[in-house]
Order: sequence, then structure tokens, then C-alpha cells
Amino acid sequence: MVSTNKSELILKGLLSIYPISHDFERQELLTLSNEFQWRQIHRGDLLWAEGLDKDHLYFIVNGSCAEYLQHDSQESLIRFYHEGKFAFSEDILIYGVPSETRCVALTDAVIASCPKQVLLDDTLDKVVGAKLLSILLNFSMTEYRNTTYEMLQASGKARLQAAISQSPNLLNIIPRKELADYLGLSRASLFRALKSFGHEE
Amino acid sequence: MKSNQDAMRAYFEALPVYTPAFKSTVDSVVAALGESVKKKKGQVVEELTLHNKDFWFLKSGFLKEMYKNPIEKEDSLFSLIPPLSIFVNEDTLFNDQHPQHYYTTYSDVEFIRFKYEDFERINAKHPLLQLLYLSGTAEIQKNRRARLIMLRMRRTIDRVEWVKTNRPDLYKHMDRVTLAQYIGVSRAGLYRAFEKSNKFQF
Repeated sequence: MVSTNKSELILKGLLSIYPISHDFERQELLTLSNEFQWRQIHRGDLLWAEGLDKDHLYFIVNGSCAEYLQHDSQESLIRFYHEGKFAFSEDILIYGVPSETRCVALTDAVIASCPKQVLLDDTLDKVVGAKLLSILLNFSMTEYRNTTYEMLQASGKARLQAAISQSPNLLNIIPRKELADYLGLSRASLFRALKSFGHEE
Repeated sequence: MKSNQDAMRAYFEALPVYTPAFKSTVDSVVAALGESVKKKKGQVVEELTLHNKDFWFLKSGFLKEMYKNPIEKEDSLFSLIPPLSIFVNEDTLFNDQHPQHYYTTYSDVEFIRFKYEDFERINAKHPLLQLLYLSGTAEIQKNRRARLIMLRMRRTIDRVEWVKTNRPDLYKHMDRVTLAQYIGVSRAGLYRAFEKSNKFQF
């Protein structure tokens, strides 16, 4: 059980993605907010690993995390999660299959998490849990679509511009090395792009 | 040529999640399909410019999914949809918003409508439909994830090779302009990569 202030923070996050259709849903979401467990993690700590890891829904209270996909003996950064956002392995949480990705804290962070079982068990109306999972799936699909917009830009500068337009605070929350990986640019190209926006000396 | 119902049934049966337990659910879906819509190459698919949450099955031909690119200030290719795919207005279906993407025909096409009201009606009676829906979205996400990996490749020619290897169904039908847009490079960049590597599309 978490304190009122803490649960309100999570409730605010839930309400930002969950459109309320009935009065009881708000109360249910508050119940769910109380089920989240808080913990502090350090840079480099894992939220989830590849394979059948914990089927949790995570809320980033502060700090930032990155999701990596292993492929052809290398790894690509495919998604960022930062303060006020929910993070989850869609493989595990939505599809119930081993995760192809892992998620790592890029900074020291505070994370709240809740197992899938809580979303679907009797402490919560099943309709609310199922609706939340469906929202998270739509959210995930929309995020991949938005990332595709960024990556379809032909120049490094345009990629950076597109990424910043999606996430205006990007440069303050993501270390430069990870940002270069995410945009598929060398660090030199990223710095050239940043310079053209007047961000780096 | 397969009937609309046979084509859609074959689509469901090819999903990784499909087992004979889905038969009655699939029977209900194919029984609710609408008539085919046929369009000539180069047309905008007007049916999808409107606010609708329906599911559409591309029976034959290719569609270009377009979006307004705020950086280039012109409409750009988001994706090329091959035959035997399901496509939707994501903005409307997921967020109840006006569609931000639109579709144009890359070749002559034939597609079939499956109404959202029918989806809801059948889902209430056959909850397994939700699993088919999830399986369909899993395939879409898998493809998007793989394409994002390709779009992060530094060398243009590596991106071309990726499409050739992983999406031969698209590669064989794409002209160079569409290929350049699909892999996120300029037309000139694609030509230079072909010249430099002494490799060509066909």
C-alpha cells in the first residue's frame, strides 16, 4: 500500500491515458494506484530482462529508462521512457510471450510497479483491467508509429527535429550516447545536428 | 480467384495463434463481411478518409499509407501495404480522432470491409475474437519493430538489403521512389548507394 501523495501521482498518470466512461472507473483506478510498489533503482539496473521476466506495468516516477532490442548479435535502443510515463514489455504484459526486449535505467530513478495479475484479479473490476491493457496496447502501437515518423526522416537533423517535436524535453532527459543510438546516428552526426539547432558548442 | 470469405478465412488460419477452436469465431466474421470495393491504381481510398473504426482486408493489390510529414512539409509514405493484410484507421479506432493517415492505391486493388459494429457484436458472443485481434496487432508490432531496426542502419545499401531479404513481398513490387521513401533516404541517396555498391534493385 502506498501513501496518498504517491498513489495520486500514479492516478494522475493513469488518468492521462485512460478515458473515463463511468464514475466507478475513477475509483477503480485509485484502487489500482494503491497497488503499485515503489522502489529506487540505479543507472544500469534492469526493469525487465529478455525472456519470461516479471509481467509488470511500470510507472516512471522520476529518471529515465531505455528499452533495447537484441537482433543479429547487436542491440538497438528502440524506446525511451521518462518521468510520468508507463513502461512495460508488450511481449510479456500484453501478449504473454517471452520478451524480445530488455529495459534499463539510464539514470538513477524511482519506479513504481504493479503485476499484471493485479490488473486482472478480483481486487479490480475486470473491465477496468482489460480496458487498461487494451489502452496500453494502443499506446504502444501509436508510439511505434511516432518513432517510425522520426526514423523515416532522411537527414540526422530532420530525425532530431522530429524526435524533439514528439518529445520536447528529449535533450534534457536522455544522455547523448543513447540519443545517438536511438536516432541511428554516429555521435559526430548527432553533435552536428545539435549544433545546427544551437544546442552544443 | 478465392471468394472474399475464403481469402479472409485463409488470413485468419495463417495467424500463429490460430487453432481449430477459432473456427466458429472465424465463421461468424466471414459471414459478416461486406462486398468487395475495387479501385484503380493512383486513387485515394475515400472510404478511409472518413471517421470510421472499421477493419479493412486488402484482398489484392498494394496500398500506400501516407501521412503529412511536418518536417518535409509534404505528404510522405508511411508504409506500403501488401495484399492479404488487414488495415485500419488507427487514430479513429484507438483514439476516436479524425484519421491522420490516408491511403492511395499503388496498383489496382480490391478490399473488403468488416464493420466495427460487427466486430463488437461477434466479440460479445465469441470472446476468442479478441485473441485474433491481439494476434493481428502482435504481427503488426513485430513488423514495425523490425522496420525500426532497419531504419536505424547507417548505410543505405544495408537498408536495401534488409528489405530485399525480409520483405521480398514488397521489394519485388516497389519502384525506386517508393523504396527510397520506405527506407527513409532521399532518392539521390538511394541512387548513390546503388552506384557505389554496384548493386541495383533488379
